[in-house]
Amino acid sequence: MTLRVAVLGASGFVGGALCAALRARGDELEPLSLRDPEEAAQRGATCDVIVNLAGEPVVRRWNPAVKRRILESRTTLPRDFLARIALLRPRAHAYVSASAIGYYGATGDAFLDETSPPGKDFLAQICVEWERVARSAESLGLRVACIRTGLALGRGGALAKMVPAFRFGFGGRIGSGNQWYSWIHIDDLVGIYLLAIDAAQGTINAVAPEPARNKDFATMLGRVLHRPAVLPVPTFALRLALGEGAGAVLSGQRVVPRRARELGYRFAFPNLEQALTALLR
Amino acid sequence: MSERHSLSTARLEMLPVSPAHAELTWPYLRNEEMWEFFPALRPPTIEALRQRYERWSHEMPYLGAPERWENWICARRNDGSAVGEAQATYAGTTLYIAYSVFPPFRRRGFARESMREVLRHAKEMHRSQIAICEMAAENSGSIAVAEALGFERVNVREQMDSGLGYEGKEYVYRLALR
Repeated sequence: MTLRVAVLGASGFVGGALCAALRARGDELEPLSLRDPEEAAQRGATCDVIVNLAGEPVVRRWNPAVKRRILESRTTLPRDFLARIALLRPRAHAYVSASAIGYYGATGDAFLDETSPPGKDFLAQICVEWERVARSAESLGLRVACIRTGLALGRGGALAKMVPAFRFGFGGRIGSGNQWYSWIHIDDLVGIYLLAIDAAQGTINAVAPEPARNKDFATMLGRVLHRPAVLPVPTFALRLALGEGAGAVLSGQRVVPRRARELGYRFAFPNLEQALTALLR
Repeated sequence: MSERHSLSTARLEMLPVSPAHAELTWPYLRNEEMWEFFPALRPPTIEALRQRYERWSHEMPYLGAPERWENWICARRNDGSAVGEAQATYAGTTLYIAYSVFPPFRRRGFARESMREVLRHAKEMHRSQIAICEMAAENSGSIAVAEALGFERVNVREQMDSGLGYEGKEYVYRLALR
């Protein structure tokens, strides 16, 4: 059975890949923009599933105005969008919302699954509220899934920002390099979204089964590109460039995909070398 | 704990925002005209506006925030009409300001008058040294207000629409509070 799927944030890195996959399997797409929130709600209400991937980018220099936007784009805007949907007797039966593994805060070496408690920093607070707003769609009778996304690797996104430095021999670990990168290949991220669009409910960590320390990630990236990862990016340089936003890069989480496994999801790229090789060669 | 201060100018009473103010401002904020630059932020219902004001009435923009903020409803002294909103966010010695004037009350100097009072208040009560405001590059009204207050443009940013309904250039303005 084909679905009619509304997507907020369809033009982004994840949105583009998800829309391509939905089209490929014959689903009908309805990309939404909140430029006209009423029209977006009306179009969204006629779809079977609503996917919300929209949000102000996080890895940038923060100031109070930027933080407000990061917050509002993930809380006020979806809350208001759902309030508009509620007035329209929606046909939709599911609401799938992006979230992030920033939910867990900076937690060192501890393994984290969907039952682990939230952190206390800014990003963790945002994720808690983001998911709370998403779950409020249950009161409209919608099945709700929240996808806690790790570092998504694809032809674009974070990897596109890292690769040029490595190609020119300037890549390396960030800070101490001991922080964990819970990464996921974009095809697997899309696969988990499709699982949620079709049937899954609740919170799902979208990360590969084997997180890597940042220094090992850098070494592997260097190896795949045939460039040694020799020049570390010092913490102070990153703090200078990103300010408080550097925390999003410097503090990692060691997250495991327990729910995805329980739901029977089979990872196409469970291994980092395999994932990077597929993307970069 | 920071206090919530009422401010006043020659023509305005600036009242710390509370959910009850939604009754006064909803007739203006429900209109699309008010949200030309950030259409996605138009509240869908008066209840959503009450909830927004409830969040704005707290001393922190979000739980655990290192910043503090104050939000005001600007009411005309002579008849009590709500003419706009004002916001000050205090991050250390840097002040971030934001404001809006409802369409029937524009081009009468209310934005400049309220912001001048917010700058004074921030400097005296919060020891703010630098004030920053950010606005859409097409927002000629806000640009005129900022420049009249002595702000200088220090940065231009490109904002992409990632489904949130706003895109285009944004200006960052800065003023040293001496």
